[in-house]
Amino acid sequence: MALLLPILAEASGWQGIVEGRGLAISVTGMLIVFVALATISTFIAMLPKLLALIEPIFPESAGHHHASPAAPQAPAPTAVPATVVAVAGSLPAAGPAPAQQDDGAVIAAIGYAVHASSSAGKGAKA
Amino acid sequence: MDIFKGFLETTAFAQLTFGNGIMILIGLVFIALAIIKDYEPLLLLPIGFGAVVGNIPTDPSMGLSVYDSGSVLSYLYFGVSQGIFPPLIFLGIGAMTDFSTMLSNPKLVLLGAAAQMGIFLTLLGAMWLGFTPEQAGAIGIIGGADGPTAIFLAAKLAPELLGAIAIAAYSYMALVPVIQPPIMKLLTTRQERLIQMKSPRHVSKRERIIFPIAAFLICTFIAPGALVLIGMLFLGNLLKESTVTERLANTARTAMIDIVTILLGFSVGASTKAQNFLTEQSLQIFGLGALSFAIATASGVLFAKFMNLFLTHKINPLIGAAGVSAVPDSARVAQMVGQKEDPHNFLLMHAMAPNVAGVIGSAVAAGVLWSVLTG
Repeated sequence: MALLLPILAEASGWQGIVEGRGLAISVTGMLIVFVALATISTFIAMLPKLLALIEPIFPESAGHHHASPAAPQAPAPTAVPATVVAVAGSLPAAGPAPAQQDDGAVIAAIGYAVHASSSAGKGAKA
Repeated sequence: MDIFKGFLETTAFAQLTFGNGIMILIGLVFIALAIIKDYEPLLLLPIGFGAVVGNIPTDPSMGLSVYDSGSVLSYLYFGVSQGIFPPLIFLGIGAMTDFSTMLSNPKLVLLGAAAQMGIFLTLLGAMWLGFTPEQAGAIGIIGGADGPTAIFLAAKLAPELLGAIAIAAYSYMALVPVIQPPIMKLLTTRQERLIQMKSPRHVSKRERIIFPIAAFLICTFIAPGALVLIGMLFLGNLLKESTVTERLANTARTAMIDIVTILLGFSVGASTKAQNFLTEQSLQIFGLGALSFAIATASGVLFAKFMNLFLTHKINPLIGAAGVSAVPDSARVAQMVGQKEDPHNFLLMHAMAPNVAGVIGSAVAAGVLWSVLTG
């Protein structure tokens, strides 16, 4: 890489600003930054209303769920995850409490998930 | 004996100049600041060591420096000179950033815009001192308090000043806790510093997913020059918020950003060869950088006070200072200054909103300057 030597503009002081169209660039630049962020701000302000409008058509809970959401969220009371339905459906109507009865199965499932996750982490290929 | 004499002439002892000595000392000061004072250690340590490496005088025929075509250091520096590293850092930043506080209080985005005033006023100052418009634009971006953006724009507009601009930007970022508080206190009353802000609302996952896509489209349609930086920032954020690419987000915010930070810091440091760096221009750049930072901080605080004239729920003007995009340092400073007045006032969460808006603002400002000054 060639060594680049600094080159100063020929004009300085107010003349330098005028020749470089400094005022126009500054005002325009500031204006564009404000417009961009004000537009984002307006969009963010409107977003909850827009989402409220489309919620009946595309309920948020309808999407598939993956692990580790960024923020804890209260589950929607109307939404029952399919796995819970499946487990509930397989439980007997009477008998010991499900939590006690399925402890072994739950621990086995968690163990398998942890094992699978760590195996995937170790053997991952780009 | 002749061979030994010849060898002695090639050693650094024989070729060391006073300038090299000064720069090696500056590098060691950076390393000391990073280790002893814990000032931005992730950046100052590689930069400091790079400055030491870059100022070891070598025989020109060996072609070892950043500026020698084909040298190892020149290949590392390629990522800086061609603006490759900054967008990769932005990808990592995006994967780390939580925009929830900003989404919960959209008004605060404007503080991120106001703090960019430092960039454009410093541009005028640089032109006043006789820098070309391109150089002035690259110097002005120091006020964005965003190292990668400053490097990106300097690489595009004024590569000859890249070393000085990068060092100034990162030095002042490390000095945020020193530079900002006096300005914040000077421009606010005690009553204003005591203002407590209401808790932010809950932000849904859907909002957090839509935001990076929408904000990217808004920013790049308005300022296409910001495409690369903004694109990578919001890609990183989408990787994080979608929760379906957790592995990619995790890599972006850990291993990848760390690797790029090492390479960027080291190669920027290595580019500060005394012959290029120890000039009157560098001193002017450092002076303008400090001015830029001060103006950016003041602009944010004053704009928050201006907004309070129209708001029912007042904003604590201290968080205006967080509009400079030194994430999360300036937000921490706002919290620290606020808590000195009232230990029960927690501003950090609120200050993060203008802070992350400042990242977007400085990237847009860089895009605008790049478009305008090369158009």
